[in-house]
Amino acid sequence: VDEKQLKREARLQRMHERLGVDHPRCIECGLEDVRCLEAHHIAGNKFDDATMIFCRNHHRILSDDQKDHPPLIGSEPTLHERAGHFLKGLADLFTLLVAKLHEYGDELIAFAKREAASSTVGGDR
Amino acid sequence: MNAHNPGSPLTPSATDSLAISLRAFVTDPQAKPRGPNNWTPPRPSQWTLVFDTETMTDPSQRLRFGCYQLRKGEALNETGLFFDPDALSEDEQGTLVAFAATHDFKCMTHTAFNEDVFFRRAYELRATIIGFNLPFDISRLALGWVPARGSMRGGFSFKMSEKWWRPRVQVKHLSGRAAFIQFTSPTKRNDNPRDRREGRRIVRRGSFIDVKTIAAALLSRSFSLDGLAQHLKTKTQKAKTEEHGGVLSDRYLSYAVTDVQVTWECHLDLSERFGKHDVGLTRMSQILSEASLGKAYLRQMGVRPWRELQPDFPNAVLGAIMGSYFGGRAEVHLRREVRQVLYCDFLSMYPTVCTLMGLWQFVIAKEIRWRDATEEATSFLNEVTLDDLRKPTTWPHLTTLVQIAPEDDIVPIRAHYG
Repeated sequence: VDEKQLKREARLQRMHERLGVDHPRCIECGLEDVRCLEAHHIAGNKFDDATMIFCRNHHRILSDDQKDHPPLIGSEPTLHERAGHFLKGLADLFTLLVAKLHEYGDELIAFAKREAASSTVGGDR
Repeated sequence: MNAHNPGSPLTPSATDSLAISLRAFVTDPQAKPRGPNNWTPPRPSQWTLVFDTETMTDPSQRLRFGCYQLRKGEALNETGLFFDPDALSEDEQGTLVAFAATHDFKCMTHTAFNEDVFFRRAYELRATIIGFNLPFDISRLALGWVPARGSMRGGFSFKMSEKWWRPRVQVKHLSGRAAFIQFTSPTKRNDNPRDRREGRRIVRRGSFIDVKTIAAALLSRSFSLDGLAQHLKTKTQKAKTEEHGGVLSDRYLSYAVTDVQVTWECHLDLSERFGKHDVGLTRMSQILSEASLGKAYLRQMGVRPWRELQPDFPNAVLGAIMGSYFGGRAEVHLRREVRQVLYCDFLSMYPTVCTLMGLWQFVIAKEIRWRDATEEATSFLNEVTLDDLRKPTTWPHLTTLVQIAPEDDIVPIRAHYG
C-alpha cells in the first residue's frame, strides 16, 4: 500500500469502526458505501443510545422529523419520556418505510404489467 | 504438630504442621454494581500483521532483527525486514539490506517498523496482530516499559513509539500459555474530532492472536512452532538452523522469513478449526484456553451466568459453597516410604463429574433455592452403603452442602506441600 492508499484505508476503517458493523448499508435505500453512511439515534441522542444506520440523505430526513418531537421536559429524560421518544422515532422510520414499500409495490406491479404486455405481443404458439 | 517415631530415628515424623488455605467469598462494599458483561470486542478488519523477531542468545535476548508480512485477507500485501542498528554490525546490516533488496522486501530499523508498520498499518487499519509467543516478540520491539495499571495490573505496559499520543501495548500473563494483550486507550490526539465533539469515544484495543495460545486452547497441548507445523501438516514447514546468535547470513535470514510464513499458515489452519466450533459470538482473539472455548459455547447457547440472573443470592451461602469446593485433588496414602508407585490421573474430570452428578441443572438454572436438609442428609448417611456409593444413580443425590465435625477422618485440604 502506498501512502495515499494507506490514508484512505485508515479513513475507511475508522468509518467502519464508528458504525460498528462489517457490512453497513442504509436501511432505507440499501446504499453500501461506508463513506455515505451514518448512525441515526432512533429516539434522538438526548433520549437513547440505540442507533440504526442510514445514508446521509435519509439520516437528514429522519433528524429533521425529530425536530417536530416535543423537547426534553427536565434536565434528564425519565424512562417514560425515553420510551415515548423512542416510539416517535420508530414511527418516523416506519413512515419512511411505508413510502418505500408503496414505491417498491408500484414498481413490481409496473414490471408485471410490462411482462404481461410483452407476452401478449408475442402471442401463444 | 510433630510426632516422634522412636523405632526409626532417621525417619522424619509422619505428621507435619501445615498452613492450610480455605476458600471464601468476600465482597467489596464500595464496589459499584456491575451490569451484565456482554461486551464483544469489535471485529478486526481483513488486514493482518504477522511478525517474528530474532534475538541475541545471551541473557539479554536483545532484538537483532525481525521479519513481517502484511496481508489483506489471504493476499500478501508486503513483506519486510527490520533490525536494531545497535545490535548488528555494519557488515550484518549490509547482508540484511542486500537480502531484502534481492527478495523485494521492505527494510527498516525496528523503530521505523514500530511507527510505519505496527502503528500506521496494523493499528490504524484495525489489523489482527499475529505471532508465535507474541508477548515475547512485542517486548523485543518495546522502547521501554512500566507496570500496567487498572485491569491489567500485574502486567507490563510497553512503550512502542516515541510519539506521546501513540497507545502503549499492555501484556498480562495468565499462564505459561496465555496472556491478555491490548492497546491502551489513546490520548486525545488520536481521537477523531467528530467523535470528540459528539461525546463518542471509541477505544481501539486491537486484536492480538498468539498462535501458541490458540493452538494450546484448540488442541489441548503445548507446541513449539516446529511441532505445531508438523502436527497441522502445513504446506511450509519450519526450517532448521544452528545459526542462532551467529554472524547474520542469507540462510539465517531465509530461516526467519520462513518462520513468519509458517506462523501464518498455522494461524490459517487454526482459524478454520475455530470456525468449525461455530461460536460466532466470541472472537478468536478472546480464546486463551480450553476454558475460554467452554465459555464461548455457553455464551452461544444463551446460558447466562447464574450470578447475573440471581444477584441477590445470600453471600453467606455462597461462602459456604466456595468453602466446600476443592478443585484439584491429590492423594498419597503412603508417605515417606520407598515404594514402587503407579501414577494415576484423570482426564476431563470437571465435565465428567458435572455430567455424572447431574450438575448441568445448576448451570442452566434461572434461580437456585435452598433449604435446611439436615434430616434428609442424616437419614441418607445412616442408610447409604459403600456399594450404593459405587452406583451412578446415587451420585446425583450428593449435591448437598453439609458441615462435618471430623473425628480422625481424612478430609481434603488445600496447602503447599513439598
